[in-house]
Amino acid sequence: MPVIPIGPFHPALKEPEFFKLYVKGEQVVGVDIRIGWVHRGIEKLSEGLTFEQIPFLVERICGICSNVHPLCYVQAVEDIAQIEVPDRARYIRVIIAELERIHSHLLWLGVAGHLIGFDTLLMWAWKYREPVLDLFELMTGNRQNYAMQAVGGVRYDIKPEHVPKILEVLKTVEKETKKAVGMVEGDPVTKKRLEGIGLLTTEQARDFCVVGPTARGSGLKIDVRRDDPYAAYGELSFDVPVYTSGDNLARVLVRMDELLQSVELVRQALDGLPRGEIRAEFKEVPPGEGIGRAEAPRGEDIHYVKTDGRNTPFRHKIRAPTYANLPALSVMLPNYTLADAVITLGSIDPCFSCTERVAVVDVRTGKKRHLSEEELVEISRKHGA
Amino acid sequence: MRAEELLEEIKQKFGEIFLEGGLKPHLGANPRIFVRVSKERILDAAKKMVEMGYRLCTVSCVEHMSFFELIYHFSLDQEKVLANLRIEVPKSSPRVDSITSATKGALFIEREIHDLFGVEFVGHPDLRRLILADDWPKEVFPLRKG
Amino acid sequence: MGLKIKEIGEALRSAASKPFTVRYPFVPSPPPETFRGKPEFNDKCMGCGACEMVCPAGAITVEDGELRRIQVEYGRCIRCGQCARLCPVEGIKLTTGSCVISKGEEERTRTSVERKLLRCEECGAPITAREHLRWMLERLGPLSFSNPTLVKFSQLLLGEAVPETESPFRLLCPRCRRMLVLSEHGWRTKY
Repeated sequence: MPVIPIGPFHPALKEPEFFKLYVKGEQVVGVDIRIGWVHRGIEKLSEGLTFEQIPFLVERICGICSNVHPLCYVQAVEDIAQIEVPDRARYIRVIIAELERIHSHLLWLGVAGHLIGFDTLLMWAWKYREPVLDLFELMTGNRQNYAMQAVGGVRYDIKPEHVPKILEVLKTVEKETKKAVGMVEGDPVTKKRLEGIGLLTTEQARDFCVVGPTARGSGLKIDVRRDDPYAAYGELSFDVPVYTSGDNLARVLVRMDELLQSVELVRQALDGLPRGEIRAEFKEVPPGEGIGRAEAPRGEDIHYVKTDGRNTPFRHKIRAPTYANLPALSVMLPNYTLADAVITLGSIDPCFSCTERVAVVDVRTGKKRHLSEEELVEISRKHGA
Repeated sequence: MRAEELLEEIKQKFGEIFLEGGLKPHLGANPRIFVRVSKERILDAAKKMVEMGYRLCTVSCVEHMSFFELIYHFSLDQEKVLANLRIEVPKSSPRVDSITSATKGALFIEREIHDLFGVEFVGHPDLRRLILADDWPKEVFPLRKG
Repeated sequence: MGLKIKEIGEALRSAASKPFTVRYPFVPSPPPETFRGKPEFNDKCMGCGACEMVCPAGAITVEDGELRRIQVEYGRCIRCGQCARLCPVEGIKLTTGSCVISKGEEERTRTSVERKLLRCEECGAPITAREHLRWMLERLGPLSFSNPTLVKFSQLLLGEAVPETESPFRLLCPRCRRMLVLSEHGWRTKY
């Protein structure tokens, strides 16, 4: 059977994973996934750093969702030591997490648009993402890797002069997102590229235990913010958008609805921001085990920490959200064309680390073609034209 | 309280598979359920959890002096409860049944534990290397403490 | 149709306004003052080495030779700000300057500070930096009298001479201090 390896140059997002697509002509009939190019041994490194230093390590697991990993980790440690986080810190955690969701979804929207040939969406999304990153630079000192989370609270405070700037950026993001929803839903060409492609039924979604927008686009109503309320989510009201069609279009719409939800959540949190301390004191972390969960832009992130009384963890286990979504690709990719494979890969919003080369093997002839990233993306973009 | 009822339900359904269990308090949300089951019956336990509507989040492997402790984290999203099953796998013969026939969510997770700790999952359809390099030596397990 | 008009409107608006991209570095792009740039030492640094202990990336090193030299390696520094936050005297701060270290020039890739070091009079091991001991003296106040090292140090600061025969009143490292107390002035001599 012809085999098309896609990877480790991944055209959809800039991260390395290796997909071997078994094709017959242009139709994909099977897929094999291999990962591991950016295995950096973070769990092992964690066992040598103190509790205060680990947030800086884990926030560099991923560049786009760099806030959610330290958030999960500090929640796991707070679970062990039964630390009560001050109210103001919990609300600030919500604000940072939702702003991160906004910028992550905007980035993804642009890339998805680029893959199907809709470059206006790319330029538009990334233009309106910049003010959000500027906000982070103002509040925390960096556009990524905010170093915000600490065991017991947060490190930086939101000053009163930041609030009007945040609200202004939110207004722009909301206005432009609503325009973009119209652009995607109203454009027949875009809809044709997305509708009915990359189907993941509700049953399959449950069997593969997928998380995040991938699950919510297939009818599973799961969201850690509502199922295991952390930070201040228990006190805020928000919807969990769910679509049942399970195709690429559903996943796009879920993310766009979430964008608008996040804007609302940040407004609510800013409105109800209580006064007080931003970090609780604690003496030491007793032996025990704790689990921290959070809803990353890509799904549920879970950290398990086990301590034995020293000032570094005994075991730190991390399961990032894309890890749970990847195996589902083995049922989402077959029976569609090679060009659609690219956008389906992108629709689960994979987050690994960088891109490598794509190799394509035609099963019938046994001939191998090597496609560079540009060529594969061109195949995908031309398909829609 | 909901977590207590669910612990009772698990106890009933598991029967003799259930060795011991308890609740662990969690600030601001439902307490977490921790259950220890016998290693030989983990596949049955996982099948029962899936039947009850739980979703597998991940599997953590912790190395102790003479055994590996595998913790299966299951989440019952609608009831906002996290239930964790523990089993102990002796280091002298690190083999345990794979639960991929109960839920495909365990496919990658078991491969990773096999790579990093050397625990063998009997019945896994495809126990190849997942995250280590292909030419990594076979007998070196990076996350072991020894 | 209405959608196309909106898109065309957006396109015209974007075409008419100036480009969104800033042509940095040909055009300056100053960051906000809260930006976490590269750390730099200042005169307040007392050489205690707290920054080395808390750095998550291991970018700060302390070398004790004739002087104590504390060095930050910018290639390893992740600009987290822990050193600045946890320094007791604000002796190291994050600046907002840009940092180009790709050329490998010595002065761009690292920065360091040197402080006078006090060594144990018995074994020669470093005790700590001189300024650090002075800071401890100021913070402890009258409690300093409980530690002979601090007492001798305070006398040195005042320029007073200390009679050499008084053996406890020497600058000793903790290990030598312990040995001295146990062997010469502890229970062995009494009983």
